[in-house]
Amino acid sequence: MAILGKIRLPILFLSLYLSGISLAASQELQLVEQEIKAGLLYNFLKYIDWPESANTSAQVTVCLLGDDPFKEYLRPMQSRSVKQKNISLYNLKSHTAVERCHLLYISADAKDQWMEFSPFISGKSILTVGDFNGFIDLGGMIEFNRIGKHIGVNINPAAMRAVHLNVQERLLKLVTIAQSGKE
Amino acid sequence: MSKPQSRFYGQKKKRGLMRSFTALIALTAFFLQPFHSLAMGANSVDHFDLSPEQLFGATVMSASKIDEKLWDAPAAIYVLTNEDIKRSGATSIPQALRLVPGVQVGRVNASGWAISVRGFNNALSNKLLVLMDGREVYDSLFSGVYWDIQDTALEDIDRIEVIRGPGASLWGANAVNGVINIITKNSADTQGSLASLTAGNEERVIGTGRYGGTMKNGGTYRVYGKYLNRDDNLTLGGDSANDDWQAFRSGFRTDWKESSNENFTVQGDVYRTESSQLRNVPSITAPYSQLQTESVDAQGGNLLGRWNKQLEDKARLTVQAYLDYTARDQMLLEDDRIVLDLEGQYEFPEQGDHKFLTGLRYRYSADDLTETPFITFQDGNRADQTISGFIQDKITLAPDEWFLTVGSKFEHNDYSGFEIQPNARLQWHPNDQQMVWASVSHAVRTPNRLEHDLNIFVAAFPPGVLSPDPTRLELDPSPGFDSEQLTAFEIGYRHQITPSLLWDFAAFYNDYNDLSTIEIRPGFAGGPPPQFVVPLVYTNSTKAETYGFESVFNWRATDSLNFTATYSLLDLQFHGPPSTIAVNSEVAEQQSPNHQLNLRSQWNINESVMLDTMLYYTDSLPNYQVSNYWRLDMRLGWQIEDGIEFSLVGQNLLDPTHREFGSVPEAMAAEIERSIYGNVTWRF
Repeated sequence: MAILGKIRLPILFLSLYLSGISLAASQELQLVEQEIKAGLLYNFLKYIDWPESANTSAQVTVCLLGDDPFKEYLRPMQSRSVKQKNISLYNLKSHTAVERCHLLYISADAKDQWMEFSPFISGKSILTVGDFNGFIDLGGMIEFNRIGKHIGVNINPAAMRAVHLNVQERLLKLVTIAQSGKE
Repeated sequence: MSKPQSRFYGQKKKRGLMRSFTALIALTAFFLQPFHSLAMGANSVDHFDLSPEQLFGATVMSASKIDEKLWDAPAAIYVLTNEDIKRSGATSIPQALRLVPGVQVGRVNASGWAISVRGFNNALSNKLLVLMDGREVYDSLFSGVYWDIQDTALEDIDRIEVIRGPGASLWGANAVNGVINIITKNSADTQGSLASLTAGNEERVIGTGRYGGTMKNGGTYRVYGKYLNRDDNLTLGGDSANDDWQAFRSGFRTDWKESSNENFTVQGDVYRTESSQLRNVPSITAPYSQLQTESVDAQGGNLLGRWNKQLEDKARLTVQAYLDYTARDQMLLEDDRIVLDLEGQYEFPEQGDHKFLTGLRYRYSADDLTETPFITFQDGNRADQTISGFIQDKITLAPDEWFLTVGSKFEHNDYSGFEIQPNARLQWHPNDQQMVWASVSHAVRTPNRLEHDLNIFVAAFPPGVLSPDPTRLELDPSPGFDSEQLTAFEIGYRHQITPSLLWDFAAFYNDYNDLSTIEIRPGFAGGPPPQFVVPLVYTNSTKAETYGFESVFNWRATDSLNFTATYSLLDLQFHGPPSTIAVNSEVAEQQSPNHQLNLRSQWNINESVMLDTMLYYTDSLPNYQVSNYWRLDMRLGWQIEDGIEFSLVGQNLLDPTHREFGSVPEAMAAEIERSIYGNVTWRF
């Protein structure tokens, strides 16, 4: 009992200090832009829930539209799993292949292709993530942006709710809700 | 009973706390280790292992661009980061340049600096190209830089890149010995408010305020204001050198994206500076030479716009335009100038083993000079146009291993006509830790308005010295003066010896021809009043060879202790006409220091306190009777709490005063005093 009392104080200090440390570490964390975005795509898969109707396949598919800017930073995600399912990457070329996608990433140079594909995506439970300014205004759900030296995420919750995609609390706290309607 | 008990209990509690404290420190040391590797580089972290909070909090490593540039550059390049500048205790850009190997920095007086690269230093040194965010800041009247008007909020400088040698710059016929590129931060990285106040014995007061915000179109902006007031230094005799200096400047910068691959930047500054200095003033009547205080009033403004678009296959197009107005009023000269500069650069898409880069530039420079008793001319207004272009190809000879960059600059100007400056650089990467490079370049320094058009009253001698009348020594306009030429041979080696030890070495041999020479012409009777006039003219009659090397060691001893050692060797041999007909050119051999050494340590004592020590050694300048000197600067920085940093800086701690530049008869050269100042910087 006495020993417990002695241990409790250092552990208390330690846990307080640890949270302080990780905060300090994250302030010092410097990553390549594509690493941060690839990590965020993985976290979207973890902290966003798809409706039951979309969970019929054995794996989770992340589709890429446009040039792949991630180089080697996204490929390793395929050796990981999320919600007990394997992850696979797919370069989207045709409208029909859209069915297989759970998450569709549209790169900065694929604005025109998005305009082409978006009618084929509407109504489906596919999370669309765009890497350019104005993606949400064009009907997208999540938009990456750059705020100084950090990567920011804007989301359109209404568009996500419409196809039964639910953002968990932990992720909701960190993102910015885009203003509804155009400016 | 209770009191002694509580005392005893208090001691027990203290011991218990002490034990937990030591356990805490031990465990902290253990737990801090993996986080240190996070801080050092991206490659040791699996980004898929990071929590969403960590990903949102991470900063984008833009340093990869700088690192790549530093590592891959086939040139002698040195970069001062924002952190380097802050921790050096420098309160101005010239002070920060002391840290760079191969750069000679001599403070003439409170507002005057003699700065050059690899020799040829004087207060009007003309073989150095200085750029501020792409804007050339040298004055085309004399091809030199007025350092008293080059300033900005130092907190907003992203980095200063110094490239020694001629071939690496893409523009400018002034980049003979090197280029200094001052780059400020994107306004997206200077958001929020900043207030900084410096006060000391020499730096009487420096106040900077900056505010950064966002705009409706998704872009960002910042505005800043800065006021400084510097104390005067001393003359050799211990009197005041009357060189106090005050300046005010203000500016803005805005950046926005028109689309995901199109960037716009618009920036501008206005400034006003007032300084004074002592000067020996000649006159054709008694007393022929008199020490006077000259006041210098300078003001101006600039506006710059830049557009950058990333195209397919890594092609890129950049267009830049700027307007620069400078007005300078001093006893010797009144000079108003406006410059308009338009340039475009196109980076071709990769074509097999070739990467082409090309550019075109038009520059218009018009001045309005006012005659003074010391400087006269035929035409007070002159407008010059310069058209220049360049083409460069980086050829991959063996992928990831051998590269050859060949290119040339072309220029037509109103002083020397058509000029070509070719260069070739070879680089070899034997492995990931080493890089070898070699280069050959040809560069020119084109003549300027001072040399071609101006008549300058240099000195007067009383009657009886050279003739029964008083003598007037004057520099005559020399329209026949042509460009100075340089052929430079350079070689360099970069070795990441261990992950914490880096060695960077560069050696050079420069062959100069047609160097500026002041030749004496036969005197004649002139006046009124009756005087004997001895004219001097500029000719291109001197040759020189300079050679030397710069060596940099950087040792990251621990995660909180970093050492840097730089050494520069410089040897100059001049050959000019005999002293019977020309100002002795060999004299220039002794105007640059042969050895320069800089030792620097950066120590993070704990997470809020840092101590930096800088020791400089500069060899003597015999021609100027400036003896060699050691200089010690120290800075203690303390992060008091979130957003407030306090620092205490001592400069020139080893010596109450010493001279750094300029010859004794030149009254301008003051004894630079020891300086101590404190600074509070508040970010909110």
